[in-house]
Amino acid sequence: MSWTISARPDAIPATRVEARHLVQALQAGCDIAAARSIALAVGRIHVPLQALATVEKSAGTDDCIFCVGDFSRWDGLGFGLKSGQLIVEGDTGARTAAELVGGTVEIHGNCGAWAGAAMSGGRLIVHGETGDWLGANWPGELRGMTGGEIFVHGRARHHVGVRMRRGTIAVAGPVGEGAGRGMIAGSILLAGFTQGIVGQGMKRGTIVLGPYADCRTSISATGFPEADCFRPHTLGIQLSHAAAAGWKPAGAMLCCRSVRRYLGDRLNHGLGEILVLSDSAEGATAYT
Amino acid sequence: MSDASPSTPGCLKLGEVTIVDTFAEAFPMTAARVVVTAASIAWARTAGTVMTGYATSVIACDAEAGIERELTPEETPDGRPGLAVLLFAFNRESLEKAVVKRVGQCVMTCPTTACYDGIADRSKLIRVGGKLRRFGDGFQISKVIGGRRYWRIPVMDGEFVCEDEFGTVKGVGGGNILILGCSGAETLAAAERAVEKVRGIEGVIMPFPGGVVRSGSKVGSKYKGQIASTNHAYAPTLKSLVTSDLPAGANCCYEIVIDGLSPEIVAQAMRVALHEAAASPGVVAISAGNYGGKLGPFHFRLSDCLSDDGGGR
Repeated sequence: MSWTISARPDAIPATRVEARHLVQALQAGCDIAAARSIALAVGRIHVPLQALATVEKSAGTDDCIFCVGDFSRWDGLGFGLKSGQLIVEGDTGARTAAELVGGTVEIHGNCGAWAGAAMSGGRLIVHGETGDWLGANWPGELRGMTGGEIFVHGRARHHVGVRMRRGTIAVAGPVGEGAGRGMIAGSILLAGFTQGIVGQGMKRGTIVLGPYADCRTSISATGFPEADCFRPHTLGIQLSHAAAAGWKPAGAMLCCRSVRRYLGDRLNHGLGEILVLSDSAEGATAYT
Repeated sequence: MSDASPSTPGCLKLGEVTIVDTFAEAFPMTAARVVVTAASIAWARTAGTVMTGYATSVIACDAEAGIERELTPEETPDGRPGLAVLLFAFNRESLEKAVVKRVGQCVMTCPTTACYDGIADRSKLIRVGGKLRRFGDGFQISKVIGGRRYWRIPVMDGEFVCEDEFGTVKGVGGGNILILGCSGAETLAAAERAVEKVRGIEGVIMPFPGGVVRSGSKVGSKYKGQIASTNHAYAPTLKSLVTSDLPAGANCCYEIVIDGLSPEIVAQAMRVALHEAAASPGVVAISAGNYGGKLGPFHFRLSDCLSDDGGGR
C-alpha cells in the first residue's frame, strides 16, 4: 500500500513538529482512521496528523509514502526507516532520514540539519540543499553514519560527514566548513567548492575533491603533506556507482585527468586520504 | 578425464562420422568467476594464464580453471581491459582455498592487476579479498561501494584491488566428447577446431592444455593407491593387447572436457564441439566418456547433442 500525506497550507504549525514516529506508524499497517489520528508532538502539545495534513491511502504492492507540501517544520521525517520509500515533494525539517537503516528517502526540496545523521544503511537523495551535520554523529556520540549512501544534488552546510564510520556522502554543490572532520572511514565525494579545511583529524576513509575545490585552502599542509599521484582503481568504481545513482558531477569527475593524493591526518596518526581531481595534465597520474 | 564406456550397440551417423550412442557423465561442482583486469590486455592475459595453471582436473589439482573470455574496458568494473576466469571445485570450502591461493600468488603478484567478482548471484559467497587483505600489513584500505566491499592492498606499483567476497554457483564439471580419428594430425586438427568453436560460448571452460586431453583415464589401476590410470580401451598402441573401443580405421583419440556454469551450457558446448569435430576430415567416430552412469548425476547423451536444441539431464 502507499500513503499520501499532504501538508495543509491552512495549518502551518507555529512551532516544530516531531514526526520521527510517523513513517514507522504508517508502515505498521494501520487503517486510514488510525493514520489520521497518529499523534504528533507540536511543541508541548500533541495533535492528530489530520490536524496538520490530509491523509490518503491507496492499494498497491509498493511500500511508498508520499509527502506533498511544506514540511520544513516537520523534524525527523523518515527517521529510522527500515524499508520502502519515502518521497517528499517539498522541504523537510531537521533529522530527515536520521538513523536510516534501509530503503530510500528522496527529498525534492531542501533538508534541515542532521539529515542522514547516524544512518546505517539505505539511501538518502536530496535534490536541494541540506543543513549542517549531514551524515554526522549525534552530539557526544563517537560515530556518525555507519553505512548507506547520501547523494545531495545541491549544496550542504557545515560539518558534512563528521566522524562517519562507513558509507558514502556525495555533495554536488559547495560545502561549508569542517567536512569529514574526525572521519573514521567511508567516502565523501565533494564536487563543489569547499569552505575551510577538510578531513581534519581523520583516521581513515577517503575524501574526493572535484576540480572546483581549492586544495591550497582545503587541505592542512601539516596534516596532509602531499604523498603521490596514484589514482586508486576504486575511485572509478565509486564514481561510476554515483553516476548510476544519478549524481550528475560523477561523469565530469571521472573524466579528470590527474589525481593528487594526500595522506593523513598525520597530526592524528591517520591513514586517511584526500584525492584532489584536476582537469589539467600537469601532475597527471603516472599510473593507469 | 573419464572412464569410457564399453562399446554400445547403437550407433548414429552425422555425415560420414559414426556417433556412438552413449553419454558423457558429469558431476556437480561449485564455480566462481573471477574478473581480472590490468593496465593492458597483455598483462591481464598473463595473470589469467598463470592463475589457471595446474588446474586441469580435481583428480590432482585444487581446482579446474580456465579463461572464459576476454572483456572490454566497458565490461569491467574499473574500466580497464580484462578477462573472466572460471574456477570449479567440489565444494565451496575447497573452491575458496583454491581461489585465495591462486589470486594471492598469481594475480596479486602480476603488475597492474585487480580482481573482481563476476557472478551476479551473491547468495552463496567465498571470501577472497578478505583473506588476502592482511598482506597489506595494516596499510590495507577497505571500500564499500554499492554494498560490495573492495580491499586496496598497497603493493610496489601502487595498489592491488580485490573484492572481499565472490559469488558462487552450482556448475557442472566433466562434460566431454572423445574424437576418434584416422591419424594423430587429423584428430588433433579436429580437436583444435572444436575447441576454437567452444571458446566462443559464455559460461564454459575447457581446463586441459589447449582444451584437449590426450591422457584420458579410467578409475583405479592394477597398482594399489593409484586412483586413476590410462584409459587403455582408447590407447591405439594397446589395440592388439586389450579389448579396444577404437573402431576400425581409428588410430588416435583426443578428449575435450567441458566445465560449465549450468547443464544447459555444457550441453550446448558439447553439441557445438561434436558438430565441429564431425565436420573435420579424418574423423572416424565421436564417443563420450562415462562411469556407467552410477557416479555423476548429469548424463549428456550424444544422440541429444545431434539435434539443434542440445541435450543433457
